[in-house]
Amino acid sequence: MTDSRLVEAFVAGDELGIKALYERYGGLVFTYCVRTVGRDAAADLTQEVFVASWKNRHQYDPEAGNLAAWLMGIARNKVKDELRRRSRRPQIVTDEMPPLPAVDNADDIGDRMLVASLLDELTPRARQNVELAFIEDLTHEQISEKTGTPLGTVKSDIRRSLDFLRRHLKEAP
Amino acid sequence: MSEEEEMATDAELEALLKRVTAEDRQLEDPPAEVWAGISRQITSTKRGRRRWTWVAVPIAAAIAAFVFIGPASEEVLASADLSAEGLPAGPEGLTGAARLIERDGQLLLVVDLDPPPSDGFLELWLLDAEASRLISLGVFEDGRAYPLPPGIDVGEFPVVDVSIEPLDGDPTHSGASIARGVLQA
Repeated sequence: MTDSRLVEAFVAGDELGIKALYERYGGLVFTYCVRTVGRDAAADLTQEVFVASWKNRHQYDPEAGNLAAWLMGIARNKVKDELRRRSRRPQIVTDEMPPLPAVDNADDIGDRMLVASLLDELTPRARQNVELAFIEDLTHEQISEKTGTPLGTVKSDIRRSLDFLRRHLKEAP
Repeated sequence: MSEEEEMATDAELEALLKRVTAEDRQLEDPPAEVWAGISRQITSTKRGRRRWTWVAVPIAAAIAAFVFIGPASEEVLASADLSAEGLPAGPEGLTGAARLIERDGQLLLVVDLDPPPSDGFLELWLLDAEASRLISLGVFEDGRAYPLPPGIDVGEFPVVDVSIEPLDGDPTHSGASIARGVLQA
């Protein structure tokens, strides 16, 4: 389902819409939860995130922000609430649970995972150029040399990709 | 966004991209029960809403023949004739009427007995059709409008019952009803 049709189906509120949202972003939300609150709590929390998103779907404004960012915002808040709850209780640490990350670490993990998922929405060439620039830390000249893409193309790919990412990272208020 | 703002956000965005790790890109599918749970909760929320609509329909049908009583914003949704017939504790000749009304958005039950009882501790109840489950509305006062407990399904508790109670501190129905009737839309 394309983005705008996904948004339409989701806001319409029927099960097809929430299912499409879940199929698209269920893995992202679940993995985020596993990494922040641990595997035991991740399934329940993921369920809560999607049910809350369905109940609050009328509050999502497509003009104001990206649906994935809005959804991850819900996930982030639930994760942070759970982490704050735990920090007030004595914990039995099992092997399964990751060391409790600080609440602001949960923010960064969420940001990184969201932007990483957005990379998959870039064209293959633009994605490659962005990865080479920021994950491999190559200069534009090095990228041009390595890929055989003209330097100007590399620069404009990266420029447009950053614009795209910035737009889609914006959460609806 | 101004050019400076854009550049500043670019710097943040580039810094964020640089922090992305391979682990951030490895996603795991949730177990199957997660979707089952989501679907279940959404369906039950929808079903809950539908049930409320269903309860409203038979009462709404009565609005077609509604009667204004008292202030203009009042509507009678259902009524019952009360009598002591068949009730061993019921005084002979006792009759009455109960009206389920909506006044200013609130559901109220108004009960009048004729003759109005002068002594005894009387209690007002709503019973289910089998007279097996009971909801107490409290001490009975003739002509008083009783607000119904929120969320009550009146279709499920249509029997109006007035009982005479001993002052023994036992909150259960004494079994001595003096008047009873069935609400009908």
